[in-house]
Order: sequence, then structure tokens, then C-alpha cells
Amino acid sequence: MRLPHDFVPPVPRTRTTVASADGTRIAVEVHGPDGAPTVVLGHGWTCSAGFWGRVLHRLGDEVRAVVYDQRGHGRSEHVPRGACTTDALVEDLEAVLLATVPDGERAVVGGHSMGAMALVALAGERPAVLRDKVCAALLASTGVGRLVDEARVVPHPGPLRAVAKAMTQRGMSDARLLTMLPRWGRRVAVSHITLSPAADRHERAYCTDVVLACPPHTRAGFARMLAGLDLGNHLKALDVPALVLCGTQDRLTPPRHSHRITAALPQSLGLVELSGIGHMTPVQSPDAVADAVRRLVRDHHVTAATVTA
Amino acid sequence: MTPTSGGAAALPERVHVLVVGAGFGGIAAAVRLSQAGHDLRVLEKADDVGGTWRDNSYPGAGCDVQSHLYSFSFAMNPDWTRSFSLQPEIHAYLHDVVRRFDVGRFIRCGVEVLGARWDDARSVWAVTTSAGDVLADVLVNASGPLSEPRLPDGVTTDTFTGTVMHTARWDSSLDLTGRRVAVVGTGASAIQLVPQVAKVAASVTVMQRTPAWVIPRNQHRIPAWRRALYRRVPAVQKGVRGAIYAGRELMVLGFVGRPALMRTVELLSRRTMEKAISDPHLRAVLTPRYRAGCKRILISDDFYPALARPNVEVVPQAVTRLEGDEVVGAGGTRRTADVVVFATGFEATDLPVARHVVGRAGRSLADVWSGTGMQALRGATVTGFPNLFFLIGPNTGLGHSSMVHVIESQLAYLLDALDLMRRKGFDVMEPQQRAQDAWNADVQERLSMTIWATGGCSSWYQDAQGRISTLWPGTTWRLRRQTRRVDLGEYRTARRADGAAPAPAPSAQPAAQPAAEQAVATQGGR
Repeated sequence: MRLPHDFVPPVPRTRTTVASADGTRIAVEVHGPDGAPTVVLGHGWTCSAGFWGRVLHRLGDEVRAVVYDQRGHGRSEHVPRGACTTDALVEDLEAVLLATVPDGERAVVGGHSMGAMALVALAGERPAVLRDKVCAALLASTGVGRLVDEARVVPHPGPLRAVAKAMTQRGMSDARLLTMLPRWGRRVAVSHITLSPAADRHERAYCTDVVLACPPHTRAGFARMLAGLDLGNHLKALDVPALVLCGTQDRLTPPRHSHRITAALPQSLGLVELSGIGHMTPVQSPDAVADAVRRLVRDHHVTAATVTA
Repeated sequence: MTPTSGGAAALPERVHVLVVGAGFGGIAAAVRLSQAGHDLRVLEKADDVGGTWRDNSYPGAGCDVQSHLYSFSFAMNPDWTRSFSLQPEIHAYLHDVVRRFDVGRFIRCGVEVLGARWDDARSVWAVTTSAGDVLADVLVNASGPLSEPRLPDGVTTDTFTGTVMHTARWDSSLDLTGRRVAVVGTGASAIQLVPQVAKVAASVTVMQRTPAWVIPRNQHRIPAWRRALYRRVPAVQKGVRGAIYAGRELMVLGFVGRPALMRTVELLSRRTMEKAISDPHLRAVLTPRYRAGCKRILISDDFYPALARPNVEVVPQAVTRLEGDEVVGAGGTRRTADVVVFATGFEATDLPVARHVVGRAGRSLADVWSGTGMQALRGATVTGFPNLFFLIGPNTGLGHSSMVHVIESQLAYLLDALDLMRRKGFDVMEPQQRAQDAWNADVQERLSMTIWATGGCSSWYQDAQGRISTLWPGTTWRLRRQTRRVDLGEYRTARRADGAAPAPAPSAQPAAQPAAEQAVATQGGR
């Protein structure tokens, strides 16, 4: 199947590699013209920088978009399972921000799912970086804890709740399970977990390919991290204007996560709920995600000039 | 060891047949013409024979046609070590043919043809070379369509601080280990080069204008016992060669007859890509948007795996300029590089030799062709250019099989013409305009239905006007049939006007059974 044109990400103007604190090489792409407001976007579990392609096409030359591959994903260096931790994601994001956001400028930083978790964790652990480099935040389709408990991947009629939970955990972390399925089975499984029924065939095929492209041990490594995630206390440290966005049909991080996050943020700009959309909002609702980025840039971006003024 | 077993033939003042270029075409001409007892010389501008297979010495260079088929019918080689030979082995084979048939004495290397003018009064080609002037009764252009490196139009390189190279002018002293290399192009040369470079370079940036359909090569080594068998029982190798030939001829169905059949090639290519590349973004960039076959179908076992390596990036943009230490793409993308390799092919439709050849009316071939595109009669002869013959002339190229087969077909035509001259006692032959026009009208009509015209791409098969002037729209068997004998009804023939002495009688070789030899030439290759 040939994907529509905007699924193919724009060609990055430049590419660089940034070394994280533990030396892991993080692949970074820069899109859009120098001098435009910087937007840094972090993708979620099992995705890659190209996952932002549909959003980047919509943003065009309005912003200088920095997208990067999380460790173990895409073109970034592969790491052992033990190196798939929240702390490592924070260090990776820190390295990217320090390397790509020009001095004096504070960027709009957005994350989808695990990418947003990295930003929340950074707020708690690197307040100085948040203060110096981040002017506003976009938290798309994410949660800060109880991810396995609240996921609705496996339907759980009352008494079978524990079974459903175990299945979810197993399904997320077993490196082989997905690859053992036939091609159509993978598409059904990935579409069920990450997309809403409203998704079209291109979105289904694309998301399946993206998830399958993630090395199994990376998928498993971060599944363990996600299962134990608890960032509830870090939310109040994210003291920048922040917009929350989620799909109402999200099975992986259902809207109740976003409701809680919106309520806990010190400078919440509210919640954008996308009706009938699943977890992969940058794929299923690229217009809404691009609009959210635009809104943050318009209202909150801080350039070097504004800082000195 | 000297590179050739000859190559230093004396250059006489006058020769019956002068062949330009000592690649596959020139060497075959030397063998067949000398066997038929013709006085000849072959001029080669480089210091060594081999043509394409001398020039293209970049890492990974090899042939897309199986070795058993990509060799002369009159000089089978049982010792090929791979199903698809690499450049050093093919180059060595050509040296071996020169030695085996002792034709080095007809070849003069290091002499470039600077110009050739038809002298109508004396009915000879007055040829100017870097080693003096030569008169030739018959001029044979065997310089090939893929000899003059092409660079993309308008790309400025003068402010680039790194090294710039073309694949066909490879500097083997350059070590790419740990370097940042940019490869421009994703054609036949690039897909052979990139996997080799990716193994050693720090980074490889592949600049891609249009992706190619790539299918598996299925390269394998030919075991020693098979080689021994081919040596002892040549008929077995002939059988293998015939089977390969037949299989490839079937592919014409897809190119020429039913372009829809090419979907199967696309399916195979997609499967190959999916196996090697997991990233859907990269796969999308590499998937062509034209029907397979419109541009050359490429074969490789290691191209897609190489592109999946973390040190390789495909930038789907044309190059606009090289600047400082950067390659700048059409969309303004910038990638740093120490070395830029242009794998951008050759001037296939704008032959440099055409500018140097001036015909009866005082016009150069390039001038004549500038309005019409390259045109010839049966891919061999051109109105207004008496006694000029092409090997791999206009519309004789292939998308599916061995060019060596075409060369042998065209040689049979040339040999028949020379034989007719000798037997019927004329000295000058020139195709009639209406015969040439009719031939080209037929070729173009058949081309109009092929994948190359309908597949939705632009390619090097087409000239600047979009006319396909390089390809033969049919089976090689059909070309062979149509060039088996010269039809004198298509020609104007004449005796030499001033009654000047004809070329000296053949001295080098007795005219041993020319007819029998010719029969072999016309039937060989299958």
C-alpha cells in the first residue's frame, strides 16, 4: 500500500548527533528555518522521529522543529534493557535541549506519550533546564502513573480485572509476542491498542509499521519502565504554561490521565479532547496537534530578543 | 605484467578499417575483423583496453547480467567465479581475449581520436588523432554510449573543500575509512558502491532524485567442480548460457509487450525492501512512483541492507551545489561531507564522439542529430556519413539482456558490409534517407507502447526532447535477425571517385575461411 504523501516526513534540513550523559548517541533532526521559533518534540514508546511527519508537514516553515529519536529507537544508539529508564530519557531530553535551543531562547517542548513523560520527569529533576530552555509544554496522549492499571487494551469485565491487567503487562513487555503474529494479526493488534476504530487503513498500516520497526528489546525495556512509572509528584514542577491533549478513544492512556494532569498542572492552559481519536494523536489528528503547537508558539514563545528586551 | 598483451600497434598512414575504442566492442571488432582478413587498427584513448570495465573500478563495480551471458560467444570463459562478475574479473577477461586471439597487435592505446572528416573527393575518412593523421576507408565507432561521465546540470562544486569524484573516474588511492561520504545518485553504479562504502565510512549520505526498483541479485559463487565441468564440457556452459539468454528474452514481454506484467517486479522489490528495512519512513522514501522498468531495474543483494545501517542516510533530494564542507540539496538541506562521489552515469544520449565526426555535407553528427535526436539505420549507419558504422549505435541498448549480444549482432552487420564491399567491388556505402527514416519510424512506433515511454518516469534512455534514442524495443533475437545481412536496397553504393588505390591488402592475417567464421558470429551468443 502506498501511503499518502504527508506520512513521509519532510527531509530534515540538518541532522546531528547529541551525546547523552551516559554517552548514548541521540539522533536529532532539525526542520524549518534557523531564526524561527524552536519547537522540540519527543516521540513515544516504539515510535521514532519520523512519527511527527504529519505534524511537521503542517507546521512547515513556521517553526524550527527539532525532533529526535528516543534512545533505542530510530537512528539513536541502541541500549541494553537496563538503560531504558526515566532518568535516561530525562538526560537524553536535557542533552537535546542544551544542544539545539539557542542561548537566550526558550523553546516550546512537546511530547507524545512517553515523550511527554520525559518532559514531566525533566521538570522535576532538572528545574534549571526547564527554566532556561522551556517556555511552554504540550503533553499529548500521556499519563504519569498507573499506566497498566488504567489501560483499556484488554476488556476487563469485573472479576477478570486481574487477568486483563496481567495480559496487558505481558503483551506490552514480551519482545516476541507481536512479531510472532502474522502480518494481518499485527495490524489488528497494533490498531486496536494504539488507534481508534475511526482510523483509516493508511493510519493502521503506518502505525503498525512504525511499532514493528522498533527493536523488540527496546520495546520490552521501556515497557518495564512504563509499568513502574510514577511521576505524579513531578507535575507541580512543570511550572510553565502547559496544554494537555488527548483522544477520547485512547485505550493506552485513557482520557482520565489527561484530566488528572490538567488539574494538577501549575499553569494549565486546559485540555484539548479529540473526539473519537485513539492514542496516536499526531497520526490520527495531525491538524489538532499542529494547532496546539502553533498556539503555544504564538502565545508563549520566548526568543532571545524578548529575553534581552 | 603489462596491462595488455598488445596495445602499441603502429599507426599507419592509411588503414582499411579504423575502430575507435577498445572496450567490448572494439576488442570484438579486432577479433572478428582480423579473422575475416580485414586490415584494421583499433585506437584507444586510455592507456589500457577494457572501456567501461576499465573505467568503472569503484568498489563493488560489477555487471547486472550473468557472467555466462555477458561474454563473447566466440570466447566463452569457463572460469567465471561468480554468477554475476565483478569489474576486475571482467576486465581480466577482456585482457585474456586480447591475448587469446592475439589482437593486441591491432590495438593502439593512448591515442585519442580528435576528429574525423569524410573526404568526399578521396572517399575516405580523414581522421585526426593525438598521434597524427590517419586515412580510413571505413570508420567504426566502438566508443560506447556509457563512456563519458555525466554530472548533474548546474551543480557548482568549486567552493567545496573536500574531494569530488565520479564513479567512472575512481581514484583507488583514496581511503574512505572513517570519512564522511556523500553519494549522489541511486542508479546502477550507486547501488553497487554504497554498500561497500557504508562498511568503512563514518557516514554515508545518499542523495536521491528518483528511487529505483531494486530486486535481488542472488549473487553466488560458482563452485570449482562446475568450473571444471564447463572447462571439460563446453556444451554444458553453452546450455546454461542459452537458458539465461532465454529467460532474459522473456522479460521483453514485460518491457515491450505488457507493461502491466511489471507489477510482479514491483511486488518482488517491495518484499525485498520490507525484509531489509524495518523503518516505514525510509521505505516510503525508497518506493518509486513509476512503473517498474521505466527506469532501469536494478539488482542488488546488499543495497537495502546498507541503507538500513545507522551510518547511512537517504536524502530524497537532488543536489544543487557543494559548498564549504557541505552538500546542499534542492530543499535547502545540508549534510557535511569530506568526499562527494557522483554516481550520476554517462552522457548516453549526447555522445561526445558525435561532435568530432563530420560527414559528407560538412555537418557534424552532433549537428545533424541536434534536431532529430540520435538516428541511424539498423543502429549502425547514418545518412550523410558514408562508411561509418556504430557498435552500440542509436536504439540498440537493452533493459533486459547482455549488450555483448548486441555488439556481436552489430559486428555481423559490419562484417557483411565489409564482405559485400570486397565481393561486389564498391568502396562507399551510405544509407538512403528513406530507409533510415522508415527504420526509425518503426522503432519509435514500437517504443511508444513500451514501459520506457508509458511508465511515468524520465530516464537516461530519453534525450533532452524526451525521445527514446538509446533502447531497442524488442528481443535481442529480433535485432540479430534484422542485422544479419546488409540489404543493399537500403544503401547507395559507389566506387571510389578518383580511382585512388584502395587500402593495402590485408597483411596481418590470411583471409582464412571468412564465410565460415561469419556464420559462427551470426549464430553465436545463445
